[in-house]
Amino acid sequence: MSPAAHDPLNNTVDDPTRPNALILGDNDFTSLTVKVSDIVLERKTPRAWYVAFTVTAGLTGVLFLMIGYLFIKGVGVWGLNNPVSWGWAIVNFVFWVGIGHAGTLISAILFLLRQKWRTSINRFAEAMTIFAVICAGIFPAIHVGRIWVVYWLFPLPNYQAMWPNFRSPLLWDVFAVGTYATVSLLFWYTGMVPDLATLRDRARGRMQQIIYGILAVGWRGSHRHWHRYEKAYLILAGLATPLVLSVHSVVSFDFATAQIPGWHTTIFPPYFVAGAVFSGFAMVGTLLIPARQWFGLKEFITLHHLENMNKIILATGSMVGFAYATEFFIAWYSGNPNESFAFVNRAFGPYSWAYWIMVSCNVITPQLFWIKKVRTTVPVMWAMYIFVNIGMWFERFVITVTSLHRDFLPSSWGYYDPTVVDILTFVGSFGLFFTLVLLFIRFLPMVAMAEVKTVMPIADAHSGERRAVGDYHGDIPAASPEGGGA
Amino acid sequence: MAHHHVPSLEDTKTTLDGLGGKVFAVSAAVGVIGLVVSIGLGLAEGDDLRHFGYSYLVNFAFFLAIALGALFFLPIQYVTKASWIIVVRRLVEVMAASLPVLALLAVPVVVLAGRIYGWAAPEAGSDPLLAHKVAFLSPRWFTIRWAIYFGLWTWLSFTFWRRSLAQDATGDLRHTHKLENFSGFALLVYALSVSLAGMDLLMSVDYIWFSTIFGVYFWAGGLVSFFAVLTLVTMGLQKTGRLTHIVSPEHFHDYGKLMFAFTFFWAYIAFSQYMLYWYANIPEETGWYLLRSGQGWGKVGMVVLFAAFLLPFAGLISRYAKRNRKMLAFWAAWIVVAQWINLYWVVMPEYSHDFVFSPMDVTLFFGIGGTWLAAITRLAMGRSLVPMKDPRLDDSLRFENA
Repeated sequence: MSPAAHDPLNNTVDDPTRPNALILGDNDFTSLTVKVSDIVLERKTPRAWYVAFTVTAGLTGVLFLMIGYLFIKGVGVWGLNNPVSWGWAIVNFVFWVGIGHAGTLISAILFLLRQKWRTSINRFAEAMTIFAVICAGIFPAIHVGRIWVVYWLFPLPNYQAMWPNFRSPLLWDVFAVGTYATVSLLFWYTGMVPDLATLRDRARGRMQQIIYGILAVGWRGSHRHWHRYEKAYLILAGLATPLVLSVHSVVSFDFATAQIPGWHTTIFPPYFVAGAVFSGFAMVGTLLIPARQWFGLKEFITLHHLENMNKIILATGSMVGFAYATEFFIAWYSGNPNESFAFVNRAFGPYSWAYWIMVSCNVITPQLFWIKKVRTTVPVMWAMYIFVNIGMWFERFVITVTSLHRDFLPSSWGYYDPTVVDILTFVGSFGLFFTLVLLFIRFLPMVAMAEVKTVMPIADAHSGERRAVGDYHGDIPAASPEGGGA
Repeated sequence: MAHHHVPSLEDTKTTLDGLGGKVFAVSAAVGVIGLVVSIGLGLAEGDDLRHFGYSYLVNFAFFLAIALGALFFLPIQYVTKASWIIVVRRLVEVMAASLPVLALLAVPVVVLAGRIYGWAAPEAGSDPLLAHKVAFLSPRWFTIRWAIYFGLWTWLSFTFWRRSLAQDATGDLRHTHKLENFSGFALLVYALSVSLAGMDLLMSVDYIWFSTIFGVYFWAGGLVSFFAVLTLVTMGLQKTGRLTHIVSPEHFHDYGKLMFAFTFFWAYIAFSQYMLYWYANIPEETGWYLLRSGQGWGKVGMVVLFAAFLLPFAGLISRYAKRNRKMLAFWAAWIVVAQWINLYWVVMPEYSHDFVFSPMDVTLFFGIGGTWLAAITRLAMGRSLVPMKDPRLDDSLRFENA
């Protein structure tokens, strides 16, 4: 406790008599606006941004080259074989959709749970959600083989009365992910309108004024605007909350409705949701830590925020571990030899390397977050996020491939290896993701200024006096300017 | 927003006083009479207490799930550092601390296991599907596991109970710190033990059937009933002039949100289990649902769908319903009954493939419920109903929904 008490940027001290400050430093409304909006409007774009953008745009080019190649040649360019007819495409799809879950959890569920600390990170997480869903959407679209009829995925009225199979979970995916993308986008944009108006008002270039002006849809900050904004926000939060559960539940149905051992198990829906939140938070952290460092946002995205995220990672990681254990137990308990074979084969068969990477990264390493020192040391937690990202990709790989490669007929067992095209497509999807993130950082406010202002002490009419909980309680009593320290 | 007068503990009564003795005496009497009458009814059936065993299981599982809901809600408050709930936290502690009494009430389940659980029946030994797991599903290991479960739960609940009471006396902040650190660990122990216990208690009634989500299903249903019971208990105390002013419509609003949210969550879990088994249509998995969808039980299943999910979901969705005392009380009572019917539907088809309902089901509800209520009243007697010196009490008293 002693070194932390002296560090002005450490607000992770546990003191039940006084909540930690959410915003540090000597900030008021103006300084917050300046610090966040200047990144977009005033500051010169760092050279590193251009370097990074060149790299990621190049990788995005690789993605589209690979997709083009796939379209010309067909899915034979992937490593798919018989029996492994689902390979990296579905793995990558589930991986990216999962990452998208942190955004809605932060913006919707944490909002309903009155977790005021979310205000500093929700914009970033929501943006990341949308980019991840874009990356995710690519894979099912390109994996269909006959790309020229991909529009059949949608129930379009047509004179032949040809409809998609409504009983197929793959079709449910189209609706689930489509709804999710729509609501996430609406939520993100609605929340950003007041901030876009701030950018419009502060912009000095004519072009910026026009573009941000259009995006701000005539926001004037009147009482009526705020009233409707708050209503819309609450309604969107309510709508998005079941979506946090539904999207990844439907994704899990892709597997769980089948009769394949290792896929068909009832814990899949909540277990997939927990895994998605787990991976999403890890990805948010992966991006936030460099962003707060490079753009000087440590006073707004504080150690307290990161520690809270790490706690959520610990909780969801443990849920995932709990699901692994339950699956193993029931595989044995069921007395079904195929079921127990599938799990023993995962852990000790030809893909055991992948299984143990998954277990090490998802179950074992996150347990280090029990230690406060690990939860509050930035480089260490960043390394943990990377582990989780790796582990969660491998989880989807293990689920997809190990259950398929040794099916019911031993004579048709096989081994799946990705091709260069598989690998480059996946790497290229990271290129697309990071390109979008870089554009977001450059052109949009990274921190939700209007929302953060509501948790700042001066937002309280009784500034300096304790305020009721249930309302924003990011107050540092005025008497202790050292900020949350003991 | 203008600050209202902040209520203080002086505004109201925060002990049971004379009421405690009365409630204890009445509920204990109801409990004992209920149990005795039930045993009489059970013996009168002349089936070696088989019917009694199943009926007992339904009611025992119901009250156990409520107490376990309390045991979940406590550590959740500490890990999230929640403050709105502090003013009623003692009620939650009392419900969780009743688990040792439920351990005593578990004895009939263990003793009558041979009449309730197929795996414990003498003729089960020849079934190859059981032979594989007979080491796990054996009377001896079943008993040992229940001893371990209750050992763990008693330890967890008493850690919260003792430290909270100790803080009442001294206001020492170390108790809060200790419990915040303890709670993460407690949740881990809780998740593993409750999931397995749910499978032991209810899933293994049909020893062939299995479902990885079953433990979560048991837990989620219990949590819904727990929030409903907490609502009713708080309202009951207010009726007698206790906890008035300090527990405000704001707190009840949050109770309503929790009931609403977990009603939905429970239904989500139930749907996940049902839909996946229905869709894959594998005989060893659908058998459980087949039994529960025919011959009278199917209608009960529909009652569960409407009573435990659709109607309370629709009823609790509006802010008005959550803040209206009478409506909230109505839905809380409704949910208690609906979750009871759900457990009845889970257990009873194993006793009889045709629909049955006997007076014993009701007398046992009062027998076990009365005993349980007597236990929590006894625990609460002579103590403050509010954790007086919790550092976040003031926040809880001032609590307003934003």
